[in-house]
Amino acid sequence: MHSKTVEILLVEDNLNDAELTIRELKKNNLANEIHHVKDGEEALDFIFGTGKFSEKEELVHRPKLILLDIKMPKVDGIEVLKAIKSNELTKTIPVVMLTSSKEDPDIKKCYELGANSYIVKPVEFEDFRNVISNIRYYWLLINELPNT
Amino acid sequence: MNSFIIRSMTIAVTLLIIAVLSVILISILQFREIRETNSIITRNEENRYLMQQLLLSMLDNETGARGYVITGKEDFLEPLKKSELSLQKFRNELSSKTINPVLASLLKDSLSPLIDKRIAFSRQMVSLRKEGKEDEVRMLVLGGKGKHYTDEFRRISDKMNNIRSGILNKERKNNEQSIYRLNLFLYITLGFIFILSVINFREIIRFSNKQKAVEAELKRSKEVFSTLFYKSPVMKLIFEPSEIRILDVNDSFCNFFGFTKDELIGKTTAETGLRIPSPLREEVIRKMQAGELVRNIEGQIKTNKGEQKWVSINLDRVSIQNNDRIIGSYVDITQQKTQQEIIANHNRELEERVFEKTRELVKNEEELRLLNETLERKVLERTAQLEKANKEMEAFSYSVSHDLRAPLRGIIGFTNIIEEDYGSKMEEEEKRLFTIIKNNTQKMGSLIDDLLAFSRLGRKELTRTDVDMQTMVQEVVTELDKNLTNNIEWLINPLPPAVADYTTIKQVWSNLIGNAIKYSSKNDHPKIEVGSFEKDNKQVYFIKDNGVGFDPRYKDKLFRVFQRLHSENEFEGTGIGLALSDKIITRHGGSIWAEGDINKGASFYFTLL
Repeated sequence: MHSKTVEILLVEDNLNDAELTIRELKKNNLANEIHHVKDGEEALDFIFGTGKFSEKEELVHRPKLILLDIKMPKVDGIEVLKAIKSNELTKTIPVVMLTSSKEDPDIKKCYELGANSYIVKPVEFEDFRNVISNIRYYWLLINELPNT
Repeated sequence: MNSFIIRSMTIAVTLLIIAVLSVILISILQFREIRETNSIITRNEENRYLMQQLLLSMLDNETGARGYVITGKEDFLEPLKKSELSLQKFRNELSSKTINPVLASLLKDSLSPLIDKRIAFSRQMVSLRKEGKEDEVRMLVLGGKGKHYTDEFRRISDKMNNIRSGILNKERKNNEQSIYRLNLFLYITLGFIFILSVINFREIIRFSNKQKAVEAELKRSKEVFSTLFYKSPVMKLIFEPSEIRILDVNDSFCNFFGFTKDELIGKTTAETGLRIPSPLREEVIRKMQAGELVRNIEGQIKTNKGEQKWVSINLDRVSIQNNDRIIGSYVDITQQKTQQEIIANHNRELEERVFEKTRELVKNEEELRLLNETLERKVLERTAQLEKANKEMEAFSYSVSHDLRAPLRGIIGFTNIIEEDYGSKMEEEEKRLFTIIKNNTQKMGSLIDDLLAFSRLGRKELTRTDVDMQTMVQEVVTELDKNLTNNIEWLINPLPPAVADYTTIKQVWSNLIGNAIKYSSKNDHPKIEVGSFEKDNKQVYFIKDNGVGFDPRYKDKLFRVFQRLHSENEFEGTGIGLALSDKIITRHGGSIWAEGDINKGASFYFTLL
């Protein structure tokens, strides 16, 4: 059993967006590790390992912060959120929804499931960059992440 | 009223009798009084006479005695004897005739002894003379006893006469009073009777007048009845209830049924054919016996000519001079009945028609209802469809905008990365090329936004409210002008408020003012005027600038999508702004147009509904 300390898990299917996000997050060298998975299934595998995650009693990885997109193939963000927030081992991990969906139902659902934050990705690049920068600043600098 | 007359007469007669009796009675009484008085007077006179005679006799006795005494002649003894006899005679008579006790006692006690004494004296004188005793006689005479007796007799008889006079006077007075009283009584009685008679008489007169009035009233009443009954336009008849025999009819009745009075009076209704037909007859009889009113019983009666006529029968039971009678009033309702039948037929027809029509209506209603239901369902369906379509469009637009933009973000992002990471190593030309790429990407973003706005507008509902155009323009100007460096000379005239959709009209102003600013930016002294005027009863808003203007030949193209009259190099823009404004204004029901010339500025006008 190896438990490597991964700081941030980015769950994003759009590779371009992922690259831009990672690039921005890495500025000021604040994040050690940023791991990127491109859909919900990979995300769950990453955290819980393969097989039914609900039966797991041990984690493969435990990120300190999860940035979660909603619209993804195979397993979408809401399901991932549900999985994470319902498992005793992972429910304290802060999850920031980072999605282009502005839909009220999505927002409500995420908060109901226990999302810690909901951020809409701006369409303009400049704005997008600023938002990511703010996320970085807030969640990694100002906000206290729980220790495990 | 006979009793009254009898009574009055009785009273009158009674009064008369009383009067007569009174008179008779009083007369009798009076008569008796007078007679009594008369008898008293007579007695009085007689007694006076007797007294006188007694006195004379006393004197005779005296003189006789004296005469003999003087003469001695026997001749004088004769009168003396006579006087004694008359004295006795008269004394007895007087004594029997004297009633008054005072007088009687005087007579007996006083007078009578005197007479005896005189007689005795005279006898004494005579006897003495006869004896020749003249001196004794003279002594006797001189003694005066004889004279004394006579004088005393005179005195007493005078006294008695006075008493008698008194008695007589008293008697007279009594008599007078009595008579007076009787007369008074009589007069009072008569007076009383007179008054009662007068009263009685007045009563009779009054009664007589009343009788006259009653008679006059009766006469009048008879006349009224006669008129009412005989001349009434309503057919009337009087009959007696036991055999239904007609006693009287009026003219209307006769005329209507075609009989003469003689043909009807005395006959029964059966004989004349005027009987009320059964079963009505039974009902009428029943009602009359029960004491109910018989009113408006409608039945058919045959006239003398054989026609059947409808009449409305009213019967009243009355008592005329203690005789049981029935008064019938008939009203001819033949016409009414005919009309009623016509109306009834009409009604029946109408009812049938109404029934049919109602059936039709009900059917129509049913159809209508079904139609309504169908329509409503269709409307619901369409609405649902529309909503769905709208939603789909929205989703589509959103998706389009979103998904088209995502790659743009990528392009700009990565271009940035290149610039950031490798910018120092890049040539000027490379940098320039990247800038072009970035610019184009920006442009695409704007185009997407504008297109999205344009499409969204088509589906949007306008909400008209009162819009303060003045304030709106001010806001837009302030917003758009704040970052500019050229000092634009603004002239914003008072703008009247309008009824419009706030958001979209603001978009129009933004567009127009933005354009004005943009296209006059190259001017040294840019001047923009905003205002309004009235034309054809409509409010026209305008904005004028002194910028580059446009070629008026192409003024119609101005409002087309993506149409521009200037190149991107000269002025940036997507060419959708005016198209959007045009669409907005058209949706409001107004119109927008422009005027201008090259380098002479442009003026844009618009009206709302």
